[in-house]
Formats: sequence, C-alpha cells, structure tokens
Amino acid sequence: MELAAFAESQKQSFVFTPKFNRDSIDSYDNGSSPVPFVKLFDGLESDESVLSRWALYNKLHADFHTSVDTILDSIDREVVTNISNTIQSLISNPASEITRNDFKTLILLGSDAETKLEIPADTEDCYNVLVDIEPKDAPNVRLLLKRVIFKMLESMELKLQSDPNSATEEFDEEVMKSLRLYDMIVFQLFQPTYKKKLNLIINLKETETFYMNVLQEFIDLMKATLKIKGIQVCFVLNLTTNVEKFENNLDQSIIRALSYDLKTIDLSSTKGYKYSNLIFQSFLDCVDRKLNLSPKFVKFVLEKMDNNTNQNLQLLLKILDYSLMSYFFNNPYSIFIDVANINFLDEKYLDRLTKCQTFLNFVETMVNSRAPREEIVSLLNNENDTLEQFFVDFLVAENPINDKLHQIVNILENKLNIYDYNLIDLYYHMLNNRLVDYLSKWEACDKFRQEFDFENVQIVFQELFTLDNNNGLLSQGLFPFFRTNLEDNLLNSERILPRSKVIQRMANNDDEIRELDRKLNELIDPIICQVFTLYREARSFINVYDFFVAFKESLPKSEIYDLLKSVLAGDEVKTSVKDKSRKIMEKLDQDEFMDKLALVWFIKGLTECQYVGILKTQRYQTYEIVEKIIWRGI
Amino acid sequence: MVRPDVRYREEQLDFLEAFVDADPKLSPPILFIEGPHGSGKTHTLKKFFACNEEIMNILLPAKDLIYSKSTCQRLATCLRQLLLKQFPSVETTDLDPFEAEDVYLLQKFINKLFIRFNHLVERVNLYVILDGLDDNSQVNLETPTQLMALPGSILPQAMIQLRLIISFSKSSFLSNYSTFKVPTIFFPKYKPLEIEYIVSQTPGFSDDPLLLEKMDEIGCGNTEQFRSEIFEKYIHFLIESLIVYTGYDPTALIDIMRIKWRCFVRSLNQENIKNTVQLYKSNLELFNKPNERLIPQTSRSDQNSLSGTGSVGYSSHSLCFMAKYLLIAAYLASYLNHRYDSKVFSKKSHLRGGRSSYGRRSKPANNPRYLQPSGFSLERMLAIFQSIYPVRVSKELSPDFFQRDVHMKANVEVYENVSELITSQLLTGLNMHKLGYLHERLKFKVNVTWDYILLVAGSVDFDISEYFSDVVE
Repeated sequence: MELAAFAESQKQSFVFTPKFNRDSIDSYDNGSSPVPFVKLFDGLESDESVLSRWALYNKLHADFHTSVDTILDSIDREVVTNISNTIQSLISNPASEITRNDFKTLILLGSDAETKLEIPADTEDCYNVLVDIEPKDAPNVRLLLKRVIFKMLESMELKLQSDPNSATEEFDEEVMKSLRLYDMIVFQLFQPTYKKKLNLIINLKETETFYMNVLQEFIDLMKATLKIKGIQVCFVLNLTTNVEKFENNLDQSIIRALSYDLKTIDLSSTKGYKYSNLIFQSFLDCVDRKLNLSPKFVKFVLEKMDNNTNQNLQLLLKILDYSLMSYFFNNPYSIFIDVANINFLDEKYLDRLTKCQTFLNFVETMVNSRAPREEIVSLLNNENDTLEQFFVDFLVAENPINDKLHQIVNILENKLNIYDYNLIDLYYHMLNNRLVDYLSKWEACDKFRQEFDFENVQIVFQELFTLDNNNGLLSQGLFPFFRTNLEDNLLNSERILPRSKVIQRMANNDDEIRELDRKLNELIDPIICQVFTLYREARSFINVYDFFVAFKESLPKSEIYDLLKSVLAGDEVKTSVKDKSRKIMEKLDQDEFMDKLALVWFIKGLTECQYVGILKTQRYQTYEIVEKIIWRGI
Repeated sequence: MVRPDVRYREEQLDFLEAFVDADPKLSPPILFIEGPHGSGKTHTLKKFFACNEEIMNILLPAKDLIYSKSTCQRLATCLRQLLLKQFPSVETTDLDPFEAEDVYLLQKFINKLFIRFNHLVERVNLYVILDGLDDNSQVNLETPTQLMALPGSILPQAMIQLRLIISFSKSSFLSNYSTFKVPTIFFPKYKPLEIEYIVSQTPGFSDDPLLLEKMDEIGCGNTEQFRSEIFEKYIHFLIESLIVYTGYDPTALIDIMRIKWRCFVRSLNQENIKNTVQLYKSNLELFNKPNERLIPQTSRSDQNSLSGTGSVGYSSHSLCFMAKYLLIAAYLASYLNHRYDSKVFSKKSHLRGGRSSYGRRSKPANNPRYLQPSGFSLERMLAIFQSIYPVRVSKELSPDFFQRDVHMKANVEVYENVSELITSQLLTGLNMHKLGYLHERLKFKVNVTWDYILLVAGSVDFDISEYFSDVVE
C-alpha cells in the first residue's frame, strides 16, 4: 500500500466538498439567443428547431389567451351589470307604509377587495351616490360617519360640476357650513339643499374585517336616516366567508333592520362550474388535433381546484399555462405539432421513437397478429425510412375525444338541460372510459346511454404529444414546498442567484454592481447561506459562541482580507466610509480585523435566519443559546 | 297647560306637567327621564311639547350627535335657529354657532345669544331635550356633567333661561349623578296588554296591498273590519310567543312584526282565514321561534340543495376541503394542551419508551365550550394538520413521486389556504400588528366556536369530539 493511501485510510474525518459543476449550467446558457428555451438532446438540437418550438409555443399560448381574455371580460361585465341591476331594483322598490323603516341591503357573497361596483345613473328626481368604505376608514363610529359624509359630499361636488344646469346654483354659506359639520344633520339638509332625493349606497369593503361594534353602531346611527324623507340608504356587504358567521356577530336589532329588504348575489365565479367549464373547453379547442391531456394531468387539475376556495379560475389558468410552457420547454418532439416541421426529423428523433410505449405495444400486436418479419424489422430499424413514414402517418391521425366531448355537452345542455356538470371531471371520466359512471348522477341521462358510449383510443406516439404530470414538475413548480425549497436554495444558492457570467454582464452595464461585490461573491456565498450550512449540522440548541467560531473558521479569511485591502488601496470603490475603513484596516492586524468582520457578518446572518423563521432565541434566558425551529417534514 | 292623550302614561304626564313650565321660577333647571328602551319616553315628550307649543323647546336625539364637539355645535345652531324663528326682529346672524366647540364655549355663546333678548318683558324658559344620552357611546364621562351645569351658568339677569331634560335608559347612568338631586320621572315597561294595544296602532298593515291582493285571491269578504281582525289575530299570536324574547319592547316587536308579515300573508288560505286555531297552526314556524337571520331559512335550504350535488369545495362562501382541515387543525392546536400532542397525534407510540408510551399521563378532561383558545405557533398547527389530513392517493393511477408520501407537506397550497383563513378572520394572529407575519414569536389563535367547528368537521366526516373529553351534546 502506498503511503498516501495509507494515511488517507487512517484519517478519522473526511472533508468532502461536493463538486458543483458550474459549466454544466453554463452549457445550457445560450448567451446571445433571445429565446429562453434551451437546446434539448443534450444540446444537440439545432437552433432552428429551438426557434420553431418557441414560435409554436407562443402561437398556442396567444391563441388560448385571446379566447380566455374574452371569457374573463364577459365574466367581469356580467358581474358588474348584475350588481348594478340588483341595486337598481333595490332602490327603485318603493317604500310602503310597512317597509319605510328598513334599510336596503345587498350581500355580495365571495367578493374580494377588487370587486367593483357600478351604480345606476342618476334619475330625474334622485341622485345615486356610491361611497366606498374600507376597514381602515372605520376606527370608530365618529370617523366612519365623517368619512361617509365626506365621500358623499365629494362625489356630489363632482356631479354638480359635470352637470351644467346646476353649476350656477350657489348654496347658502350657512348651509354649506352645516354640511361641513359631518353630522347627521347633513342628511336632513340634503334634500332641501340639492333639491333631489338621495340614494346613498354604502359599500363596506371586506365587511368581515371591520370592527364589529363600530359597524353596528354605525348601522344603528344610520337608522335615524330612515325617518328623514328623501333619503334611502343601501348597504352593500362584501362577505368572503359565510353569512352565518357574519350574522353571529350582529345584534338582533341590527339584523332586523338589515334583513327586511335584502338581496344576495353570489359573486364567486367558482360557484357552479360555468366559467371553469368555459375556460377548460377553450383550452381543449385550442390544443385540439395537437395535444392530448393525460388522465393524470386532468386528475391533478381537479384535485388542485378542489383545494382552492376563492381563486379557482386563476388557478386553472395558471396550471394550464404552466403545463403548456413546460411541455414545449422539455419535449423536443413538440415541434412536430406543426406537420410542416417534419423536415427536422432526423436520426436523433427517430432513435427515441422506438422506445415509446405505445409504439412498442403496436409492434407487439403486429407480432401477435403474425405480421411479416421483414415489415417489423424494417420498422424497428427504420429501413427505407419506414419508421419515418409511419411516424408521419400518425401525426395526422386525429383523436376523436374532443369532438365526442362537444357532442356530449351538446346533449347535456340542449336536450337534458343539465348545466351544473363539471367539464373537467367529465373529461377525466372520458379519458378513463368511465363516462357512464359520471353521468349516472343524473337520471335523465339514461335515455342517451348509447350516445354516451365512448372508448378512448390509444394512438401510437400519443405520449409524445400529451400534457402530463408524470415527473412531478407541475406539483413542484406550481405548489412548491415552502420549507424544503427554502433549505435547498440556502444550500445551493447558485441555483437561484444570477450566474457569474450574467453578473459580469450586469457589472459592465451598471455601476451599482461593483467589481468588489463580484469578487466577494466568488469567494463566499451570501452570508445567510454560509450560516445555514453550519446551522444544518448543528443540534437543535446551538451555543452562539461556538456557532460564531465555526462561522469564522468557515470563511476563507486571508483571501477576503487581501481582496478588501487591495480594493481599498485602489480608487475603484467610492464610499463615504472609505477613509474610515482604511484607518480601521491599518490599525488592526489581519486576525483582529477578520474577527470583527466575521462578527458583523455573523450577526447579520443570524438575524436573517431569525427573520426567515428557522432560528429562535429563547425568551426568558440570556442570549447564549439559540434554538432551531425544526419542521421535520411538515 | 294642555294635556296630550298618551295612553298608559298618565302618571308620567302628571309629573311632566308639574316640572315643566314656561316660567323659570316654577321649574327646576334639570329634569331626568329614566326608563328602559321602548317605554314611551320620546313619544310622550314629543306629544307633550307638541301640545304645549308656547314653551320653547329643542329635541335632540343624543345618539345622532356622536361626540361632544358636534353636540355643542348642533345645540348652538338649533338654539339660534329657534330664537330667530320666534323673534325675527332680533339680529343674531353675526353670532357664529360653530365657535361653540366645547361646553365652555357653548356656554359663552348661549350667554351672548340670550343677552340680545333682554328687552323681553317676561322671563321665559327654553327647554333642551337630550334624548337617550346614554345611547351615545362616544360621549365621555364629563360631558353630561358639564351639560348639566349649563342651565346654572346662564346669567341670572337674562330674560331667557335654559332648561335641560335628559332622558336615558340605563339606571347606571342615574347612579352617576345621584348626588345632583335631580328630579327624575320613571317610565316603567309597558304591560303585555298595553303592548298589544300600542302595537296594534301601527298603521299600514290592515290596508297593505299584499293583504288586499291575497284576500281578493281567496275571495271572502274583503272588508276593512275583517282585515283588521286578521291583523289583530296576527299581533296576538306574535305577542304571545315573542314578548319575553324582546324584553317587553314594543319597537322590537313592531320590527319583527313587519319582517314576518309577508310570510304570514302568504300563508293565508281559504281554510285558515276564518279559523283562528288553524291560522296559528299553519304558521307554527313563524310564531314558535324568533328566527332572526339575515337570509330566511327557506331560501337557505334551497341554496344547500343546489350546492349539494357538486363537491363541497366549489361554493365559495364555504371553505374548501383543505381549508376545513386546516381550520380543524387550528382548533385542535388552540384547545389541546401541546404536552399531549405526541400521544394524541403520533402513530409511532412504540418508539417511545417509559411512561409516555403506555399513557399513564392521561389527559385531563376538557370541554372546549368553556375554554378560551390559546395561542399556538404555526408549525404546530401544520404538524397537526399533517397528521389529520387524509392524502387522497388514487389507486388507479401510479402516483407521481410527490404523492407517494402519505403525509401532506406544507406547500404553497396549504399556505394559500392559511392566508384565506386569516383574511376571513377564522384564524387570528396574536400581536400580529406588532410582530409581522414572519416573526418567530407570532402565535395564532382560532376564532370559531365549538358549534361552528362541529359543522365544519361534520361536513368532512371528521369526528372532532373524539379529541375532547367531557363534551356533552
């Protein structure tokens, strides 16, 4: 045995530094190319095919989004007109002797802060004024009332300015003064002053986050307006949870006042499946004859939508977008969606074709059906371009599933009047040949049983043109694990920080990023990462001093010192503290200086860890020990 | 002095007549009117002063004045307006009532104002009635005292003297000023029969178009008398069943009456319209319970049946599946002692040795109904969530490798749902404003009742009561 090997074997501890190959990342970095896609087949893919993949993706994406935009627009418009109509019907509802003492109330279920209200236009004899109130406007009832009156008067001023007829009218100074009292008297003075009735629509945004006692007092206060002629108050309550929870917080007398003339609108676009069906359908139409969806992918969409309360449509769009993008990003065969690109087909593409499961199945059936031997072999070896021809044949083959889906939807909606089906679920069952199971929910479907008969066919090479979630990329990309991601990124900061090449490019353009920063970055990782690598190896309680010493040791001290010294000597760096820093450097020797620097960095890193939520100090004890916050696999 | 006709309040009127007079010599400076809500205080006062117009008076509902500055300014404005109306010849427009920003300035203003009327021959009283002063939550402790000192601080030589009548409903208000020796008139609650009479005086019911239409539809004698008979029966039923619920408050009863009227009219038909017992029976639901909700029960059940066919997660104002489990986890974290977590939630009890493995340290009985929620850190809630959340691994498909783990790890989805819970205030952070969301000391607390969590747990088939002992349903 050699001496070196022997010495190595006698060592008690080994330092192993995992090699991170920066070059392997840089090889994907196609520098000047404006296209963010990378060359597949280990970089063997030609530039043109990357470009055409990129173009194809953009075209499909644009197609999908134009149709989605129209759908989303129509949703918005529908919601707005719906609210406006309801308010109209509420305020135009004449008050009889019995209903005189009641507010008009509109409950918007499942609305969020962005929900816009449009109020009906003013009529001959009354003004409609909308007042938006946010929880922060209502710290107490006095300010809340003030805010309401202020906003009301403000919008009245706007109205009068835009209206040429009444612009000349001057108000009595006395009256104007009383109006500025921000008192209930304003409501009494309204009709005599403005000569019209008032419909005051108070939109309480995020109603649940109001201080309930303030809100109640305010509603109680507004009861005084019920007795004033010519004023109608309409409350718009925006609820995100449910009505029961909200009304539990209210007094009975308030509930009584609100409940007589009350309407509800369910705004959640997720209520029912109408909109998600529309969007999913438009996606299917968009990728029709091009891409298929795997059952696993559809199942994934279904599950994730189930776990989301309010943002269902956005989530669906996000998943579809992401899956489309990731498909084009990592599947080299995606260029063949456009048959015109068939001239790109060459050896490297054909090589993998023979490994497709569907193709193998096909060959198996050929063998079973005793097809001639030459045919099979020529297909497998691509003699006389048979395989190529075969592939092209199947490219133009159509999957009947989308047409069938249209048929079924047509039957459901037009013949059976069923609208509350979930298209995605329906599609999922179709892919699994269990359509009948899904439709058995509705008895009326029995009549059309034979129409619903559907067999999903396997097309050869289908898996090359399928949106799938088989590698977990979607789950990982769209729903990353918080903690694991955090830890991974802290360990390998190279993954998320810009690469050195990029930094260099930025440094050339931008004075902000200085040479010093760049060089320092090459020497050490960001400080929090440096701390984290040590943190990972420690026990759950860490002695701060030990931690600090370890941190100090882990730094490449002399290199840093040299770097700083050389930089401070030059005039490249211009800071206000330069003189000071130089003085400090001169006064201290290397060890001392590095000690101090390490301490500063260490405190910084420790605090950052604390804010990220992986470390905590103990409350009642001295700061000798910090505790790890460990989330074992949470 | 003219005596108004206010039924059942004769005694109180006697006192009013005795204490209220236009002559300053014959009347005390302050008068208290005490009585619970709905005992006719405002009504009687209004009637009284309407009948005796020669006594100058201003009635201000104190609740609407909100705080002391606006009270003073409002009072000053009203005083000047009233005097301007009574004595148009006297010039008062140069006095600015908006200067009266607090009680002291108000007193200055009043003195300046009253001095202008010194040419009057006779001394007169001006009554200011502050109605329901204790309903005003924003008024501080001193303002009423300062206001009470107001009549005494008017210059004695002024020909107009200020008199104050303060009405209030809480007797605790009176005890604050018991040493003031203010004459007090007490208005007791009405008796049931009296309430029935008062409620039946509400206009608009017997000639309600809805009732007229229904009566025409049924096609029996549509006379005024018959309609009012039906109305009287309706009132009788309601009062019999709900008078205790409202605390003998006629105004609340009238409100309830209006809300239930539509339902009642709709239920009228040929059989029950002449049969009192039948009429009561067919509307048992209406008269049995107050049933005061924002959305009536009937339309609510319609909604449920609609969303019942779809999956639970799709109706937005209910929570989605994951959010429900998170809420349950938060509830358990709030109400269970963290010391027993490993015993309650861990499935690996065999790994632990000693006493904890066989559970000698048994849980004390706890019933969440009577406890306050305690704060917990987020990671504890997520750990509990992980242990109770059923990950749905579909058998038919080969699960992707993230699903192979049977535990739900906290991914973005989970966090989205947590934030959803926080925005809807089902989950609240203690000291959130001070600490911020990321702080390691931030603790959370669940903000739902036991009944609510039972509903939520029931909807996902999770037996939450098994985690608590001593829960009696």
